[in-house]
Amino acid sequence: MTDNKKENISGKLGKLEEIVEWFESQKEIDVEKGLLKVKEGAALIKDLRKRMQIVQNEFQEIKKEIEEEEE
Amino acid sequence: MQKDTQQGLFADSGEKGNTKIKKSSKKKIVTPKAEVAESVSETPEMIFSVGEFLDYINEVFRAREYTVEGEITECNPHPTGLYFTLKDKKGDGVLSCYMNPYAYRMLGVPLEVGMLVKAIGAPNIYKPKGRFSFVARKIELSGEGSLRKAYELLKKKLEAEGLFTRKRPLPEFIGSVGVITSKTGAVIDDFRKNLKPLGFKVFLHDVRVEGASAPNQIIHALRSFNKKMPDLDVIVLIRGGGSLEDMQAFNNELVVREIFASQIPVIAGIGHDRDVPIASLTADRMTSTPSFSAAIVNESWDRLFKNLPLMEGTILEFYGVALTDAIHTVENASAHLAGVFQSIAGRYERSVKDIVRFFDSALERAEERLRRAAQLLTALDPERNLKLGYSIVFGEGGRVVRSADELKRGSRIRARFGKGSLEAIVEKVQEK
Repeated sequence: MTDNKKENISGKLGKLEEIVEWFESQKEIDVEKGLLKVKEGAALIKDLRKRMQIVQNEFQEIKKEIEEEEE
Repeated sequence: MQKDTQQGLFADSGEKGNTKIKKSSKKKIVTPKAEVAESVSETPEMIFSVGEFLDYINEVFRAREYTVEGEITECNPHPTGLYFTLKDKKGDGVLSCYMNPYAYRMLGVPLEVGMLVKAIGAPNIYKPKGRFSFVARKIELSGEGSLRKAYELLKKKLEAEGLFTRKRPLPEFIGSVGVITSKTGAVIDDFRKNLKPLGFKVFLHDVRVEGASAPNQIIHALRSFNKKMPDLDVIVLIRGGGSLEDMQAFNNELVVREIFASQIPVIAGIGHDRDVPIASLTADRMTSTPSFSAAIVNESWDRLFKNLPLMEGTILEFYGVALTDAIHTVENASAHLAGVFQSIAGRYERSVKDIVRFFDSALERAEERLRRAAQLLTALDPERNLKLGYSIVFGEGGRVVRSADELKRGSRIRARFGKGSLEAIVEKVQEK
Protein backbone atom coordinates (compact mmCIF):
# COMPACT_ATOMS: atom_id res chain seq x y z
CA MET A 1 0.00 0.00 0.00
CA THR A 2 1.29 3.44 -0.79
CA ASP A 3 2.16 5.82 2.01
CA ASN A 4 -0.58 8.19 0.82
CA LYS A 5 -3.29 5.58 1.23
CA LYS A 6 -1.98 4.69 4.65
CA GLU A 7 -1.87 8.32 5.71
CA ASN A 8 -5.37 8.68 4.38
CA ILE A 9 -6.67 5.84 6.54
CA SER A 10 -4.61 6.93 9.50
CA GLY A 11 -5.65 10.56 9.05
CA LYS A 12 -9.33 9.68 8.85
CA LEU A 13 -9.11 7.50 11.92
CA GLY A 14 -7.33 10.34 13.67
CA LYS A 15 -10.13 12.77 12.80
CA LEU A 16 -12.70 10.27 13.98
CA GLU A 17 -10.82 9.86 17.25
CA GLU A 18 -10.86 13.65 17.65
CA ILE A 19 -14.64 13.67 17.18
CA VAL A 20 -15.04 10.92 19.78
CA GLU A 21 -12.81 12.87 22.16
CA TRP A 22 -14.90 16.00 21.54
CA PHE A 23 -18.08 14.17 22.51
CA GLU A 24 -16.42 12.66 25.56
CA SER A 25 -15.03 15.99 26.70
CA GLN A 26 -18.25 18.03 26.49
CA LYS A 27 -20.09 18.61 29.75
CA GLU A 28 -23.18 19.52 27.84
CA ILE A 29 -23.29 18.78 24.13
CA ASP A 30 -24.48 21.54 21.86
CA VAL A 31 -26.97 19.73 19.62
CA GLU A 32 -26.22 21.88 16.57
CA LYS A 33 -22.45 21.48 16.89
CA GLY A 34 -22.95 17.83 17.78
CA LEU A 35 -24.98 17.27 14.64
CA LEU A 36 -22.17 18.74 12.53
CA LYS A 37 -19.71 16.44 14.26
CA VAL A 38 -21.99 13.43 13.72
CA LYS A 39 -22.28 14.30 10.03
CA GLU A 40 -18.51 14.64 9.71
CA GLY A 41 -18.00 11.39 11.61
CA ALA A 42 -20.56 9.57 9.44
CA ALA A 43 -18.71 10.62 6.28
CA LEU A 44 -15.42 9.38 7.73
CA ILE A 45 -16.98 6.10 8.84
CA LYS A 46 -18.46 5.61 5.37
CA ASP A 47 -15.06 6.09 3.72
CA LEU A 48 -13.28 3.84 6.18
CA ARG A 49 -15.94 1.16 5.83
CA LYS A 50 -15.27 1.12 2.11
CA ARG A 51 -11.65 0.26 2.84
CA MET A 52 -12.77 -2.49 5.20
CA GLN A 53 -14.61 -4.25 2.45
CA ILE A 54 -13.15 -7.54 1.30
CA VAL A 55 -10.53 -6.99 -1.39
CA GLN A 56 -8.79 -9.89 -3.03
CA ASN A 57 -5.09 -10.27 -2.23
CA GLU A 58 -2.62 -10.28 -5.09
CA PHE A 59 0.11 -12.90 -5.21
CA GLN A 60 3.10 -12.65 -7.44
CA GLU A 61 6.21 -14.73 -7.56
CA ILE A 62 9.41 -12.79 -8.00
CA LYS A 63 10.81 -13.78 -11.37
CA LYS A 64 14.01 -15.72 -11.48
CA GLU A 65 15.44 -13.29 -14.04
CA ILE A 66 15.67 -10.65 -11.36
CA GLU A 67 17.61 -13.05 -9.24
CA GLU A 68 19.93 -13.97 -12.06
CA GLU A 69 20.38 -10.35 -13.00
CA GLU A 70 21.60 -9.63 -9.50
CA GLU A 71 24.02 -12.53 -9.47
CA MET B 1 51.00 -25.65 9.58
CA GLN B 2 50.46 -24.20 6.12
CA LYS B 3 49.85 -20.47 5.96
CA ASP B 4 49.40 -20.05 2.24
CA THR B 5 46.17 -19.12 0.59
CA GLN B 6 44.17 -21.53 -1.50
CA GLN B 7 45.46 -19.66 -4.49
CA GLY B 8 48.98 -20.41 -3.24
CA LEU B 9 48.23 -24.07 -2.88
CA PHE B 10 47.12 -24.34 -6.49
CA ALA B 11 49.64 -21.93 -7.93
CA ASP B 12 51.99 -23.18 -10.61
CA SER B 13 55.49 -23.19 -9.21
CA GLY B 14 56.82 -22.53 -12.72
CA GLU B 15 59.90 -24.77 -12.73
CA LYS B 16 61.58 -23.26 -15.72
CA GLY B 17 64.77 -25.25 -15.42
CA ASN B 18 63.23 -28.68 -16.02
CA THR B 19 64.26 -29.89 -19.48
CA LYS B 20 63.47 -33.61 -19.32
CA ILE B 21 59.94 -33.24 -20.56
CA LYS B 22 59.23 -32.43 -24.11
CA LYS B 23 57.44 -29.17 -24.79
CA SER B 24 54.51 -31.09 -26.21
CA SER B 25 54.04 -33.15 -23.07
CA LYS B 26 54.36 -30.01 -20.93
CA LYS B 27 51.49 -28.52 -22.79
CA LYS B 28 49.44 -31.63 -22.15
CA ILE B 29 49.84 -31.26 -18.41
CA VAL B 30 47.74 -28.13 -18.42
CA THR B 31 45.10 -29.55 -20.75
CA PRO B 32 41.75 -30.85 -19.39
CA LYS B 33 41.97 -33.95 -17.26
CA ALA B 34 40.75 -36.45 -19.83
CA GLU B 35 43.35 -35.33 -22.28
CA VAL B 36 46.03 -35.48 -19.63
CA ALA B 37 45.16 -39.04 -18.76
CA GLU B 38 45.19 -39.94 -22.43
CA SER B 39 48.56 -38.30 -23.00
CA VAL B 40 50.06 -40.18 -20.03
CA SER B 41 48.85 -43.53 -21.30
CA GLU B 42 50.15 -42.72 -24.75
CA THR B 43 53.58 -41.68 -23.49
CA PRO B 44 54.65 -44.19 -20.81
CA GLU B 45 58.26 -43.13 -21.12
CA MET B 46 57.39 -39.52 -19.99
CA ILE B 47 59.33 -38.28 -17.03
CA PHE B 48 57.81 -35.58 -14.78
CA SER B 49 59.61 -32.99 -12.87
CA VAL B 50 58.46 -32.89 -9.23
CA GLY B 51 56.45 -29.74 -9.81
CA GLU B 52 54.86 -31.11 -12.96
CA PHE B 53 53.99 -34.32 -11.21
CA LEU B 54 52.37 -32.45 -8.35
CA ASP B 55 50.45 -30.31 -10.82
CA TYR B 56 49.31 -33.46 -12.56
CA ILE B 57 48.29 -35.12 -9.33
CA ASN B 58 46.45 -32.01 -8.19
CA GLU B 59 44.58 -31.94 -11.49
CA VAL B 60 43.55 -35.51 -10.97
CA PHE B 61 42.49 -34.78 -7.40
CA ARG B 62 40.37 -31.87 -8.53
CA ALA B 63 38.54 -34.00 -11.04
CA ARG B 64 35.84 -34.72 -8.46
CA GLU B 65 34.61 -33.72 -5.03
CA TYR B 66 34.83 -35.83 -1.91
CA THR B 67 32.98 -35.69 1.37
CA VAL B 68 34.99 -36.60 4.43
CA GLU B 69 33.42 -36.85 7.87
CA GLY B 70 35.48 -36.50 11.00
CA GLU B 71 35.85 -34.78 14.34
CA ILE B 72 37.73 -31.50 14.49
CA THR B 73 40.84 -31.99 16.61
CA GLU B 74 42.59 -28.76 15.69
CA CYS B 75 41.01 -25.54 14.51
CA ASN B 76 42.99 -22.41 13.66
CA PRO B 77 41.25 -19.52 11.96
CA HIS B 78 43.76 -17.23 10.25
CA PRO B 79 43.48 -14.24 7.88
CA THR B 80 44.66 -16.51 5.06
CA GLY B 81 42.01 -19.14 5.79
CA LEU B 82 40.92 -21.81 8.23
CA TYR B 83 43.39 -24.55 9.04
CA PHE B 84 41.91 -27.54 10.79
CA THR B 85 42.47 -31.23 11.35
CA LEU B 86 39.89 -33.98 11.09
CA LYS B 87 40.23 -37.25 12.87
CA ASP B 88 38.16 -40.37 12.96
CA LYS B 89 36.42 -40.99 16.28
CA LYS B 90 37.58 -44.56 16.14
CA GLY B 91 40.82 -45.46 14.47
CA ASP B 92 43.86 -43.35 13.80
CA GLY B 93 43.11 -41.49 10.52
CA VAL B 94 44.10 -37.82 10.60
CA LEU B 95 43.54 -35.34 7.77
CA SER B 96 44.95 -31.82 7.53
CA CYS B 97 42.38 -29.51 6.00
CA TYR B 98 42.23 -25.98 4.69
CA MET B 99 39.39 -23.65 3.79
CA ASN B 100 39.89 -20.36 2.00
CA PRO B 101 38.93 -17.20 3.92
CA TYR B 102 35.94 -16.35 1.69
CA ALA B 103 34.45 -19.85 1.98
CA TYR B 104 35.09 -19.77 5.72
CA ARG B 105 33.40 -16.36 6.03
CA MET B 106 30.44 -17.64 4.03
CA LEU B 107 30.12 -20.69 6.26
CA GLY B 108 28.15 -18.75 8.83
CA VAL B 109 28.62 -21.45 11.43
CA PRO B 110 31.21 -21.30 14.19
CA LEU B 111 33.58 -24.28 14.32
CA GLU B 112 35.20 -25.67 17.42
CA VAL B 113 37.37 -28.58 18.42
CA GLY B 114 35.22 -31.61 19.15
CA MET B 115 32.59 -30.93 16.50
CA LEU B 116 31.74 -33.66 14.05
CA VAL B 117 31.72 -32.20 10.54
CA LYS B 118 31.52 -33.18 6.93
CA ALA B 119 34.17 -31.48 4.80
CA ILE B 120 33.30 -31.29 1.13
CA GLY B 121 36.10 -30.58 -1.32
CA ALA B 122 39.16 -32.12 -2.91
CA PRO B 123 42.71 -33.07 -1.84
CA ASN B 124 45.71 -31.03 -2.85
CA ILE B 125 49.47 -31.27 -2.47
CA TYR B 126 51.16 -28.01 -1.54
CA LYS B 127 54.07 -27.91 -3.90
CA PRO B 128 56.64 -25.89 -1.94
CA LYS B 129 56.38 -28.27 1.02
CA GLY B 130 55.04 -31.35 -0.66
CA ARG B 131 52.39 -31.49 2.01
CA PHE B 132 49.12 -33.24 1.43
CA SER B 133 45.95 -31.52 2.64
CA PHE B 134 42.24 -31.54 2.01
CA VAL B 135 40.87 -28.26 0.63
CA ALA B 136 37.31 -27.93 1.89
CA ARG B 137 34.96 -25.89 -0.24
CA LYS B 138 32.13 -26.41 2.20
CA ILE B 139 31.72 -27.73 5.73
CA GLU B 140 28.52 -29.11 7.19
CA LEU B 141 27.94 -29.84 10.81
CA SER B 142 27.06 -33.38 11.52
CA GLY B 143 25.38 -34.81 14.55
CA GLU B 144 23.07 -33.23 17.08
CA GLY B 145 25.90 -32.43 19.48
CA SER B 146 27.84 -30.35 16.94
CA LEU B 147 24.73 -28.56 15.79
CA ARG B 148 23.73 -27.69 19.32
CA LYS B 149 27.20 -26.53 20.19
CA ALA B 150 27.35 -24.32 17.08
CA TYR B 151 23.88 -23.00 17.86
CA GLU B 152 24.81 -22.10 21.42
CA LEU B 153 28.09 -20.47 20.36
CA LEU B 154 26.47 -18.32 17.71
CA LYS B 155 23.54 -17.40 19.94
CA LYS B 156 25.88 -16.28 22.69
CA LYS B 157 28.04 -14.28 20.31
CA LEU B 158 25.18 -12.46 18.59
CA GLU B 159 23.32 -11.87 21.83
CA ALA B 160 26.43 -10.14 23.17
CA GLU B 161 26.44 -7.95 20.07
CA GLY B 162 22.86 -6.91 20.76
CA LEU B 163 21.29 -8.41 17.65
CA PHE B 164 18.31 -9.75 19.57
CA THR B 165 17.26 -6.56 21.32
CA ARG B 166 16.47 -4.29 18.35
CA LYS B 167 12.77 -4.65 17.60
CA ARG B 168 11.32 -2.19 15.12
CA PRO B 169 7.59 -1.53 15.13
CA LEU B 170 5.76 -2.90 12.13
CA PRO B 171 3.99 -0.34 9.97
CA GLU B 172 0.28 0.20 10.39
CA PHE B 173 -2.05 -0.96 7.62
CA ILE B 174 0.44 -3.28 5.91
CA GLY B 175 -0.22 -3.41 2.19
CA SER B 176 2.77 -5.04 0.57
CA VAL B 177 4.50 -8.15 1.85
CA GLY B 178 7.66 -9.87 0.65
CA VAL B 179 7.58 -13.56 1.50
CA ILE B 180 10.71 -15.68 1.55
CA THR B 181 10.04 -19.40 1.58
CA SER B 182 9.76 -22.40 -0.68
CA LYS B 183 6.97 -22.09 -3.21
CA THR B 184 6.26 -25.79 -2.88
CA GLY B 185 4.86 -27.24 0.29
CA ALA B 186 2.19 -26.40 2.80
CA VAL B 187 3.90 -23.39 4.34
CA ILE B 188 3.10 -20.81 1.70
CA ASP B 189 -0.47 -22.14 1.40
CA ASP B 190 -0.89 -21.89 5.14
CA PHE B 191 0.31 -18.30 5.07
CA ARG B 192 -1.95 -17.38 2.15
CA LYS B 193 -5.01 -19.01 3.69
CA ASN B 194 -4.57 -17.12 6.93
CA LEU B 195 -4.06 -13.74 5.33
CA LYS B 196 -7.33 -11.79 5.44
CA PRO B 197 -8.56 -10.56 2.06
CA LEU B 198 -7.55 -6.94 2.53
CA GLY B 199 -5.94 -6.35 -0.83
CA PHE B 200 -2.43 -7.32 0.26
CA LYS B 201 0.20 -7.40 -2.45
CA VAL B 202 2.30 -10.45 -1.73
CA PHE B 203 5.59 -11.03 -3.52
CA LEU B 204 7.04 -14.49 -3.13
CA HIS B 205 10.76 -15.15 -3.34
CA ASP B 206 11.15 -18.87 -3.82
CA VAL B 207 14.14 -20.25 -1.90
CA ARG B 208 15.41 -23.53 -0.54
CA VAL B 209 14.75 -23.54 3.20
CA GLU B 210 17.15 -26.33 4.06
CA GLY B 211 20.31 -27.82 2.68
CA ALA B 212 23.62 -26.30 1.73
CA SER B 213 22.25 -23.79 -0.77
CA ALA B 214 19.55 -22.45 1.57
CA PRO B 215 21.61 -19.77 3.38
CA ASN B 216 22.83 -18.16 0.18
CA GLN B 217 19.38 -18.16 -1.36
CA ILE B 218 17.80 -16.64 1.73
CA ILE B 219 20.50 -13.97 1.91
CA HIS B 220 20.00 -13.22 -1.75
CA ALA B 221 16.22 -12.94 -1.34
CA LEU B 222 16.61 -10.53 1.61
CA ARG B 223 19.03 -8.38 -0.36
CA SER B 224 16.88 -8.49 -3.44
CA PHE B 225 13.77 -7.27 -1.60
CA ASN B 226 15.73 -4.49 0.10
CA LYS B 227 17.37 -3.39 -3.12
CA LYS B 228 14.61 -3.89 -5.70
CA MET B 229 11.53 -3.32 -3.59
CA PRO B 230 12.51 -1.00 -0.73
CA ASP B 231 8.90 0.18 -0.35
CA LEU B 232 7.72 -3.20 0.91
CA ASP B 233 6.02 -2.83 4.27
CA VAL B 234 7.35 -6.05 5.70
CA ILE B 235 9.35 -9.17 4.85
CA VAL B 236 8.05 -12.50 6.10
CA LEU B 237 10.53 -15.34 6.39
CA ILE B 238 8.74 -18.63 6.92
CA ARG B 239 9.27 -22.37 7.02
CA GLY B 240 7.73 -25.33 8.79
CA GLY B 241 9.18 -27.10 11.78
CA GLY B 242 12.14 -29.44 11.69
CA SER B 243 15.18 -30.74 13.51
CA LEU B 244 18.17 -28.61 14.42
CA GLU B 245 19.87 -30.01 11.36
CA ASP B 246 17.00 -28.97 9.09
CA MET B 247 17.12 -25.49 10.61
CA GLN B 248 20.78 -24.84 9.91
CA ALA B 249 20.04 -22.11 7.41
CA PHE B 250 18.17 -20.20 10.13
CA ASN B 251 21.05 -20.61 12.59
CA ASN B 252 23.54 -19.33 10.08
CA GLU B 253 25.45 -16.22 11.07
CA LEU B 254 25.34 -14.69 7.59
CA VAL B 255 21.59 -15.18 7.28
CA VAL B 256 21.08 -13.74 10.74
CA ARG B 257 23.22 -10.69 10.00
CA GLU B 258 21.36 -10.14 6.74
CA ILE B 259 18.07 -10.12 8.66
CA PHE B 260 19.53 -7.58 11.05
CA ALA B 261 20.77 -5.48 8.13
CA SER B 262 17.38 -5.44 6.39
CA GLN B 263 15.93 -1.94 6.11
CA ILE B 264 12.50 -3.51 5.79
CA PRO B 265 11.14 -4.95 9.06
CA VAL B 266 11.24 -8.75 9.17
CA ILE B 267 8.70 -11.17 10.62
CA ALA B 268 10.10 -14.66 11.18
CA GLY B 269 7.60 -17.51 11.20
CA ILE B 270 9.89 -20.49 11.57
CA GLY B 271 8.64 -23.67 13.18
CA HIS B 272 10.78 -25.00 15.98
CA ASP B 273 10.73 -27.35 18.89
CA ARG B 274 13.22 -26.65 21.65
CA ASP B 275 15.73 -24.23 20.19
CA VAL B 276 14.32 -20.99 18.85
CA PRO B 277 16.09 -20.34 15.53
CA ILE B 278 18.60 -17.50 15.81
CA ALA B 279 17.01 -15.92 12.74
CA SER B 280 13.75 -15.69 14.71
CA LEU B 281 15.48 -14.13 17.70
CA THR B 282 16.93 -11.46 15.41
CA ALA B 283 13.75 -10.66 13.47
CA ASP B 284 11.55 -7.71 14.46
CA ARG B 285 8.65 -10.05 15.22
CA MET B 286 8.83 -13.77 15.84
CA THR B 287 6.21 -16.47 15.57
CA SER B 288 6.46 -20.22 15.38
CA THR B 289 4.12 -20.84 12.45
CA PRO B 290 3.35 -19.32 9.07
CA SER B 291 -0.29 -18.82 10.09
CA PHE B 292 0.72 -16.71 13.09
CA SER B 293 2.90 -14.65 10.74
CA ALA B 294 -0.18 -13.99 8.62
CA ALA B 295 -2.05 -13.06 11.79
CA ILE B 296 0.62 -10.46 12.62
CA VAL B 297 0.22 -8.95 9.16
CA ASN B 298 -3.57 -8.89 9.64
CA GLU B 299 -3.13 -7.29 13.08
CA SER B 300 -1.69 -4.19 11.47
CA TRP B 301 -5.29 -3.35 10.47
CA ASP B 302 -6.71 -3.75 13.97
CA ARG B 303 -6.93 -0.02 14.63
CA LEU B 304 -9.39 0.22 11.78
CA PHE B 305 -11.29 -3.05 12.28
CA LYS B 306 -11.58 -2.93 16.06
CA ASN B 307 -11.73 0.80 16.74
CA LEU B 308 -14.07 1.92 13.98
CA PRO B 309 -17.21 0.17 15.33
CA LEU B 310 -16.33 1.33 18.86
CA MET B 311 -15.90 4.94 17.78
CA GLU B 312 -19.10 4.81 15.75
CA GLY B 313 -20.96 3.48 18.80
CA THR B 314 -19.50 6.15 21.08
CA ILE B 315 -20.42 9.03 18.77
CA LEU B 316 -23.97 7.79 18.30
CA GLU B 317 -24.45 7.08 21.99
CA PHE B 318 -23.20 10.49 23.06
CA TYR B 319 -25.21 12.30 20.44
CA GLY B 320 -28.26 10.16 21.18
CA VAL B 321 -28.15 11.16 24.83
CA ALA B 322 -27.60 14.81 23.89
CA LEU B 323 -30.50 14.70 21.46
CA THR B 324 -32.83 13.08 24.00
CA ASP B 325 -31.85 15.73 26.51
CA ALA B 326 -32.49 18.43 23.95
CA ILE B 327 -35.90 16.98 23.10
CA HIS B 328 -36.83 16.90 26.77
CA THR B 329 -35.64 20.47 27.13
CA VAL B 330 -37.74 21.56 24.19
CA GLU B 331 -40.76 19.69 25.51
CA ASN B 332 -40.36 21.28 28.91
CA ALA B 333 -39.93 24.69 27.34
CA SER B 334 -43.03 24.12 25.20
CA ALA B 335 -45.07 23.15 28.21
CA HIS B 336 -43.87 26.22 30.05
CA LEU B 337 -44.59 28.45 27.08
CA ALA B 338 -48.05 26.96 26.71
CA GLY B 339 -48.71 27.85 30.34
CA VAL B 340 -47.48 31.36 29.80
CA PHE B 341 -49.62 31.78 26.71
CA GLN B 342 -52.69 30.46 28.49
CA SER B 343 -52.13 32.94 31.22
CA ILE B 344 -51.65 35.78 28.74
CA ALA B 345 -54.73 34.71 26.77
CA GLY B 346 -56.81 34.61 29.94
CA ARG B 347 -55.70 38.04 30.86
CA TYR B 348 -56.39 39.28 27.35
CA GLU B 349 -59.86 37.82 27.44
CA ARG B 350 -60.53 39.56 30.70
CA SER B 351 -59.19 42.81 29.31
CA VAL B 352 -61.44 42.68 26.30
CA LYS B 353 -64.48 42.18 28.50
CA ASP B 354 -63.46 45.13 30.62
CA ILE B 355 -62.97 47.27 27.56
CA VAL B 356 -66.27 46.22 26.12
CA ARG B 357 -67.92 46.91 29.38
CA PHE B 358 -66.24 50.28 29.59
CA PHE B 359 -67.32 51.17 26.09
CA ASP B 360 -70.85 49.98 26.75
CA SER B 361 -71.09 52.17 29.78
CA ALA B 362 -69.52 55.11 28.01
CA LEU B 363 -71.96 54.65 25.19
CA GLU B 364 -74.87 54.55 27.54
CA ARG B 365 -73.67 57.69 29.22
CA ALA B 366 -73.26 59.39 25.86
CA GLU B 367 -76.74 58.32 24.82
CA GLU B 368 -78.20 59.72 28.01
CA ARG B 369 -76.48 62.96 27.52
CA LEU B 370 -77.64 63.03 23.97
CA ARG B 371 -81.15 62.27 24.99
CA ARG B 372 -81.13 65.09 27.55
CA ALA B 373 -79.64 67.45 25.05
CA ALA B 374 -82.39 66.53 22.63
CA GLN B 375 -85.01 67.21 25.31
CA LEU B 376 -83.43 70.52 26.00
CA LEU B 377 -83.25 71.33 22.37
CA THR B 378 -86.89 70.40 21.93
CA ALA B 379 -87.87 72.69 24.79
CA LEU B 380 -86.03 75.55 23.23
CA ASP B 381 -87.48 75.13 19.75
CA PRO B 382 -89.26 78.49 18.71
CA GLU B 383 -91.57 76.66 16.36
CA ARG B 384 -92.86 74.66 19.32
CA ASN B 385 -93.51 77.99 21.32
CA LEU B 386 -95.29 79.54 18.34
CA LYS B 387 -97.56 76.46 18.25
CA LEU B 388 -98.25 76.98 21.98
CA GLY B 389 -99.63 80.53 21.20
CA TYR B 390 -96.57 82.65 21.50
CA SER B 391 -95.60 85.05 18.61
CA ILE B 392 -92.40 86.73 17.48
CA VAL B 393 -92.35 90.44 16.58
CA PHE B 394 -89.84 91.63 14.03
CA GLY B 395 -89.02 95.39 13.78
CA GLU B 396 -87.58 97.33 10.95
CA GLY B 397 -84.79 95.50 9.24
CA GLY B 398 -86.27 92.15 10.27
CA ARG B 399 -84.73 92.23 13.79
CA VAL B 400 -86.54 90.42 16.63
CA VAL B 401 -88.11 92.96 18.97
CA ARG B 402 -87.27 91.99 22.56
CA SER B 403 -88.37 95.22 24.31
CA ALA B 404 -91.20 97.85 23.74
CA ASP B 405 -88.77 100.73 23.92
CA GLU B 406 -87.21 99.48 20.66
CA LEU B 407 -90.42 100.78 19.02
CA LYS B 408 -92.17 104.15 18.72
CA ARG B 409 -95.52 105.33 17.45
CA GLY B 410 -95.85 104.77 13.69
CA SER B 411 -93.12 102.02 13.59
CA ARG B 412 -93.90 99.25 11.11
CA ILE B 413 -93.74 95.81 12.64
CA ARG B 414 -94.36 92.19 11.51
CA ALA B 415 -95.70 89.56 13.90
CA ARG B 416 -95.21 85.78 13.24
CA PHE B 417 -97.65 83.21 14.78
CA GLY B 418 -97.83 79.43 14.91
CA LYS B 419 -99.74 79.67 11.73
CA GLY B 420 -99.34 82.78 9.56
CA SER B 421 -98.14 86.39 10.24
CA LEU B 422 -99.33 90.01 10.03
CA GLU B 423 -97.92 93.47 9.44
CA ALA B 424 -99.05 96.49 11.56
CA ILE B 425 -98.23 100.12 12.54
CA VAL B 426 -97.60 100.91 16.24
CA GLU B 427 -100.17 103.35 17.70
CA LYS B 428 -98.99 103.56 21.29
CA VAL B 429 -95.88 102.50 23.16
CA GLN B 430 -95.96 101.69 26.86
CA GLU B 431 -92.48 101.50 28.27
CA LYS B 432 -92.41 99.39 31.39
